[in-house]
Amino acid sequence: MSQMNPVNIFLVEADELLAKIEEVVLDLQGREPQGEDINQLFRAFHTIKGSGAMFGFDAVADFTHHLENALDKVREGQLPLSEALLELILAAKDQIKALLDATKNEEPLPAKKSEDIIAAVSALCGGVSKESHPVSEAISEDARGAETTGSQKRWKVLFRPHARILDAGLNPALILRDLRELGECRIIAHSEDIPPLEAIKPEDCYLWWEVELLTEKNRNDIFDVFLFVDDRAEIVIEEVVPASATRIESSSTVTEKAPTDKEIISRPIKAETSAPTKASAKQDSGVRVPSEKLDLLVNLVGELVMSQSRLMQTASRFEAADLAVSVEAIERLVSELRDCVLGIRMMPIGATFSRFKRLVHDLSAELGKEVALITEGAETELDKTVLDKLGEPLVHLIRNSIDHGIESSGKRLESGKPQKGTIRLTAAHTGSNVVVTIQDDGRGIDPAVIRAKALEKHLISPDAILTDKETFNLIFLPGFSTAQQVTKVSGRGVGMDVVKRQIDALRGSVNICSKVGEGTTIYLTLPLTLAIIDGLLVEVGSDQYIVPMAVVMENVELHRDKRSLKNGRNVISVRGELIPYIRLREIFDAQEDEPEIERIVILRHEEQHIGLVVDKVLGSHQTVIQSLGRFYKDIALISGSTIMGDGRVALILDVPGLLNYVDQLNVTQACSR
Amino acid sequence: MALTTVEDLKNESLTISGSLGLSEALQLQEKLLHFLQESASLTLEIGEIEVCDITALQLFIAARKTAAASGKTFVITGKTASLEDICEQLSFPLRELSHLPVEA
Repeated sequence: MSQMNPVNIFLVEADELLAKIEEVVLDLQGREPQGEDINQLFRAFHTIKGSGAMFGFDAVADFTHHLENALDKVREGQLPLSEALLELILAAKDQIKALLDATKNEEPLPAKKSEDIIAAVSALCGGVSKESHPVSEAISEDARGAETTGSQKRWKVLFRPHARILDAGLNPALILRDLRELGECRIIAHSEDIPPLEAIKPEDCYLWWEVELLTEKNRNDIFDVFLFVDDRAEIVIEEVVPASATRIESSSTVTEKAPTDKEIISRPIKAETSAPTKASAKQDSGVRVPSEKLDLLVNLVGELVMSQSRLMQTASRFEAADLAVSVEAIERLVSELRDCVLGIRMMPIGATFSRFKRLVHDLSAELGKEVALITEGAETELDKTVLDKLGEPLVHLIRNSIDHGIESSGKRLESGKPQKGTIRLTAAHTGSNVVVTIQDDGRGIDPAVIRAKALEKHLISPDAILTDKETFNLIFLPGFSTAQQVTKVSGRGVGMDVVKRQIDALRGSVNICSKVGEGTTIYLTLPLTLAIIDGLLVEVGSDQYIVPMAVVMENVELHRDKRSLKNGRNVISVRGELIPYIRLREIFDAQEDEPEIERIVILRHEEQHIGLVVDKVLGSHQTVIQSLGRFYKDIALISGSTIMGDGRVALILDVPGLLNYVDQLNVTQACSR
Repeated sequence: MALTTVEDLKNESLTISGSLGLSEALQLQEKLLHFLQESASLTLEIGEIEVCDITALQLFIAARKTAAASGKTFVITGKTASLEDICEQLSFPLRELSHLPVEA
């Protein structure tokens, strides 16, 4: 199935609608539902049902019909939006997803689950739940619209499609036909937005309509006509009360809205006709682009950046002012293009955060704890690749926080804490990084317990002296878990070392701060993008390497007579601190003679300082990362490569991989002695 | 079925027949522009149009605006049920397309 196949488009939109359903339901926990909440839920299920039927997902359409019916009853004020119904809606959302996946993959449908949910919904619809949010008069009035039956009312409807509505296969004529079926209609078409022949785009819709409708139907019935177009048109539905009744003029002047109860679907009627509003133009500006196309675009721009760099180097050899001006212009444009393309891949972290509301809800219920999730910085943007890979580590961390961090309600009250625990998930830019923070107000991590477990597992020696930070970092070792028992949620010690590896793979870092009795905060520091890297360009022999600037502290000279060995390791004293170092020319077997004075690049890795000895430090260098390709992708020392301006390849060092390699090498050498 | 056009520059008329959907509309837009640039008036005969939609209606209205802006005459002749239907569905008065004869 191609990315742009209509069925694929439906599946993507269904996912979005299901996410919306979940978001609305979770948001309703503990607050009064408003009319718009119910309408949002109804519209989402109604759209899934209709589109599902259209694209052959009959099981989905049949199942969703029951939820739509139930929500229709809620809209009409016949059924309260109870806790039980909200839970059923969540279960239904999961079941629709399961049905979509099963249909798409041609697998057996989970029919029993559908039957169980339908039975539960039917039972609710047949009676009133004891735990109910009383639907206030305002809500039922708002959801129902005007008085329900028996009397005709006059409505004024503005239907102003967005320009690209025809692209979506939507036909305004059919909408008008459906409106006519509701009652007596007077429809006025407006053509003043149609541009002259030289400017008109035949694929766009410029016509819009004002409708005066006399009908017994209520506002929701009128709105239902626009259900499939409400995000592709400006729609206003107003009741015209007799005292301030207005007439739709045949000219292009639009009347002001009457001061009665009204529901604005998108924007109010403007006093003058004009081009589509900014809001509607904004809604038209989104385009779905397959990720593969974006990745290809980034790669091509990366090649362009490197070619431009080579062009600059070549041009510098000619003393031609005209050439220099053109090359500089190209450099500016390429730089702007690179920033623009990389910006396209940036997406707000809010979508990732939204997933966790459901996780917290389900886990809290499962563990019998009350936990609130607060998120901040949802608009903070990250590269899509980083975002895609960040979800799993965050799931681990939040699970651990709820399972091991947050205490039960009883214990919290005993210790003077609020009954409900809080997990705060925040994201913020700091320079060229994003820091994601997971903070809970639970029991905190006791360094003594960590140390005891580490000793038990022989991970540290009895006389090891560790700071609290170093002690907390022991948690990231494989197999480490202080949980008294393995729960379904966590406790196998598999999570934290996986988290560390996943964050390391993103060129990020993890830090833990904790205080017993008060809570734990975990900081994830991540690069904004994986596509480019700020690095330090170094030379070893005739080869060049890039050291990620994120781990570079400083670089110092290393004179031949200052080199010394301590306990078989190369070390250097820097301002009184003994720093072990690695000689890159030994790792990469450089054949050229070493210089009299070398440089040590001091790195920070897991709270320790390590030195990398190189021949020369050439300076900082920002570059687009090129993959090594499938034959070399598993080399632990190297994370990628880049092509320099002179055409040579520089390898990008994977610092954790390099240090692990050296450790392994030292162990092997020690064993062989 | 494609759009067929027959141009008569001397008599400043353009006859179209067949189907007038989106792809055909782009073709017709060019022809109409060319005609309105080259001629003082244009008579568009649409009696043989078998299928048309909102795209066609908007194009005719745009052509009328262009002609009016440059002081030229633009007349649509011929009757086609397809255009009458779409005007009725979209509640656009047929006579607003200007100079439509009462009878073909």
